[in-house]
Amino acid sequence: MRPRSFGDRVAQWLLAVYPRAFRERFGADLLRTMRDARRGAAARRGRVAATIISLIDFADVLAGGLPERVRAGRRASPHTPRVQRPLREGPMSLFLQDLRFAVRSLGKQPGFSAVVVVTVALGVGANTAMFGIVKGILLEPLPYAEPQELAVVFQTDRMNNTSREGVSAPDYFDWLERQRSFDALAAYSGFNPTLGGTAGEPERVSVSLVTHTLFPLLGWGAETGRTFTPDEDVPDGPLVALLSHGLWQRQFGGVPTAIGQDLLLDGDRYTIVGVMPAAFDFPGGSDVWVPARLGPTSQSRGMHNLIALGRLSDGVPVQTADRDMNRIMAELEREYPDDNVGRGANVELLSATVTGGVRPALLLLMGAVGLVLLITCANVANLLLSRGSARRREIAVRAALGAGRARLVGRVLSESTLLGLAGGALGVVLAFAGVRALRALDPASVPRLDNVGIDVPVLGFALLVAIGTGLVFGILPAVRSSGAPLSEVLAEGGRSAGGVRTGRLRSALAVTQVAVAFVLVVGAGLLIKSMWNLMRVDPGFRAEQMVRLSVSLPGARYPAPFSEWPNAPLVYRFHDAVLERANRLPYVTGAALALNHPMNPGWTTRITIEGGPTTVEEGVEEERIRPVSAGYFATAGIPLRTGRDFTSADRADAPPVVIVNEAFVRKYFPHEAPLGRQIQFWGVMRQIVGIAADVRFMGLDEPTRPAVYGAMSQLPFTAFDVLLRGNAPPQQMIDAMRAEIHGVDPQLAIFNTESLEAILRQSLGDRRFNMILLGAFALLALSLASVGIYGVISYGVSRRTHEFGIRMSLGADPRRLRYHVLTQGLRLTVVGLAIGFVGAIAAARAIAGLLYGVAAVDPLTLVAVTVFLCLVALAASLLPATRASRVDPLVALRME
Amino acid sequence: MPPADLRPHLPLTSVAFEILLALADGERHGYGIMQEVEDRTAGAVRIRPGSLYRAIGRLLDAGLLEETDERPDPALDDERRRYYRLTDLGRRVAVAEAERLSRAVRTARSKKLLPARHA
Repeated sequence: MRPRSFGDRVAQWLLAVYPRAFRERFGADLLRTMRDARRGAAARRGRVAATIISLIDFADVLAGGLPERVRAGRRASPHTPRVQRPLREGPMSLFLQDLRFAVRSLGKQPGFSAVVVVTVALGVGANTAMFGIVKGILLEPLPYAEPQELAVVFQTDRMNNTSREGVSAPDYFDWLERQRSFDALAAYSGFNPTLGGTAGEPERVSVSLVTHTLFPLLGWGAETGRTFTPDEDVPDGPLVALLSHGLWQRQFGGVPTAIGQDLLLDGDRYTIVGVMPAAFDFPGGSDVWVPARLGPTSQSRGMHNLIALGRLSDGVPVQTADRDMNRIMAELEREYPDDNVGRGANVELLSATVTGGVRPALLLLMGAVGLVLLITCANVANLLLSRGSARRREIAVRAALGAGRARLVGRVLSESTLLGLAGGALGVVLAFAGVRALRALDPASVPRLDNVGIDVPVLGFALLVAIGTGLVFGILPAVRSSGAPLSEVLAEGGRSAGGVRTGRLRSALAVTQVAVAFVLVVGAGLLIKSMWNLMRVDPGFRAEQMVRLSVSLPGARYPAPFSEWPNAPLVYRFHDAVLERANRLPYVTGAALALNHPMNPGWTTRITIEGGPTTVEEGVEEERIRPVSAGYFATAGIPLRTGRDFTSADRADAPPVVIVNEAFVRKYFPHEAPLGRQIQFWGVMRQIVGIAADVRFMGLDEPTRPAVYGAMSQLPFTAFDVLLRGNAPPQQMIDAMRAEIHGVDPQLAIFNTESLEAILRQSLGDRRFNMILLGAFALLALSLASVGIYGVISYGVSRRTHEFGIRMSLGADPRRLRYHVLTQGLRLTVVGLAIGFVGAIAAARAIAGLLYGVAAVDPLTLVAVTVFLCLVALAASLLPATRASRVDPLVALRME
Repeated sequence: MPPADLRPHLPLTSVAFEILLALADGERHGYGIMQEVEDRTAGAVRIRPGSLYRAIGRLLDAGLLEETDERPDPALDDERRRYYRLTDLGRRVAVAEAERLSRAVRTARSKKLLPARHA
């Protein structure tokens, strides 16, 4: 019968578990009957019931395979007297018998069983934890309707070579009209106002300004109340707000009557129209959503502050959408060259945007943990082989007494499966602990970490891995130990311990372990060296003894209208008052304000240099503008190379001044003196009065970019960091400064309070995450491999006890025997290292992107790891070598 | 006590007995046996295909069944199927097993495990 349907194919495939004779005799009939049964069930009970029945039938077919093989094995050895068995003996009772036998024989060797179980637990635990992480972060769909259709539409900027820029409101409305790839588009931006009318400390909340299309686009509705209507999302629409579940609980006690109440955001009164469910978190971290209230002309086309999200139309791939949006951007660039020169589009799946940054590292780690499992299997196979050797006599005798080979293999396999399951159970416990520890690392740059956990599918994975491991490490020893005829085994006499073939197999397994461990340790070594290099990178400022506190001044009480810019007396008065109070604190040695703290990259603005190009076509570029107050450089420990710092004389009515960094000088004034030259941004010419040293504000692993420091006393920014340096513990400085700021204005929300050392540490968070994981895997691999080497050498010694005894009685030097055994261990290691070397060079390419300041093929790391592994191997062979040199000839010969 | 030549075959497994019962009134193919058992027991007993063929294998080996040539079942489709029927020995084993069970039922009644039968 030819297989036709999927069910036929599955059934045909399952038949492979039966002995050939059975397949030839009943295979075709069985397949036909199964199909008849499927059809009959479908006709009589419906498709769902039929599917369930088929699944049970498949399981039944599968379960019958092993006993059938056992039966075939019994029949195939006719010379062994067949014990009369009742037909009644079903697969279940055979299985239980095997299980009982396995439990009994493993219980007799608790030490051996414990070593195997712990080894398996380490392998399964590491794999389960890693799978939990990968599943939670990469595999699980984002919690939105049809998430695979959601795409982020970024703009790109050829001038700055960036690919994830925002879109301006006028461009967005043109997109809405011209695009052909999306069923719907939405856009959002955000701001961080202070929540008013609350008791106690003022709270600063994260508010997302969203188009009304966002919620239907994501497929979410309100938990209570409603989301926004189109007529609320127009330029002069009513002020309405949606609360997050958390804010609703926190500020309104979770009562439904919150709907209809007022919400004060920076003094503006919003009417609450609904509450979003707790599980809804888009854009991430939102406390409040309000309508964007945008129109095609409500903002300048040059203000690219919106992020656009789209739902791809049915069957439109993301590449097509990307082409479509780039076509539109080409039109918009022609129509509005002033604002859109150099801008294109970049459409990415939302899942790629969310997890794209960590995907390569996670997949790499998943591969690494797979290698750990490989070592685990090799290790346990080795352990079982040595045990199998010891039991060869028992097994050979059983075979001679009529036990079929299939039955014997089944017995050994049931033992390894039992070991695998026990190890798996312990491994799941380890995985729980591991995932917990990893979540505690909390690298800010790893997305969706709160989605990581050990759930049912992950447990299923653990079960599969445990059973698979049990079968993989069990099958070799099982087949190996059941095949030898009795005469051969008995002829080996008291020295029966496996034979040359098994010895070679064991050596090969040990070599594999060394090779794989080498690859992992080299990888970990490279990451550790990268981390070491990064920690020694000079950030360009002194982070120790520094703290920051963020403040955001509500526009209602601190007006800084654009028409009056840069005149905003109330804002300047606040700046001065805070700095004055900070400097009065006894232990404070420096205080300053900065729009962005030294590790924040800030943002870019188009600048022109006096006498340089004036248009984009001529080569005007965007550079980073970093407004800071007087005293910033001294406080942060950034040296001023030449010129002067800002002073209290640099007021809004004084000539505008700037300080540039060395990277800026290198780029724009390579051959001239920059002091006194003029540069223009935000419509005003400004004079360069100083040059500051470079700071790695892009991140420790990124070179410094050109930067222009503007004077905060001429730039009335209302949201900024207060930076303090002092000789007190960070928390004490933060608490004191918080009180001082509230002394100036008690209604302000103060947030982002932390030490700059913590910021520096966090900037390396994802690297530390990768390093710790790969390091742990490497350590695991190394210890397993050293156990493996120890096992092989010690087994070899026990096999040759007799020989050593004779040598000793003939006057051999014990030291030479010890040396002989040690070199044996070293030989295995060297072969493993040679293979591992090739693997490590291939693997290093895969992690090249995660390295810093170290080449993927780093001779120093390779040599260090080689020496290290050799030492580990020596240590592992030392014990058996010593034992060999202490063999008592009399004892060894008595074993005959 | 059943005759000596039947004793090695007794007692039968429930699957084997159901198969013999299903074939008591004529030959059937595999699915036919499954259907007969399911219909006769009103769905209470369902033999799964894997178990069915393993049991058939044993019954054939023990000489309780014999197989006939393949031929199509007009009620299903024109695919050819193998049919099975009881051998003489199979019929006698089935009878012996039925008697054994009915003796067990009589014993259960006499011990008041089952109510006495009212004719």
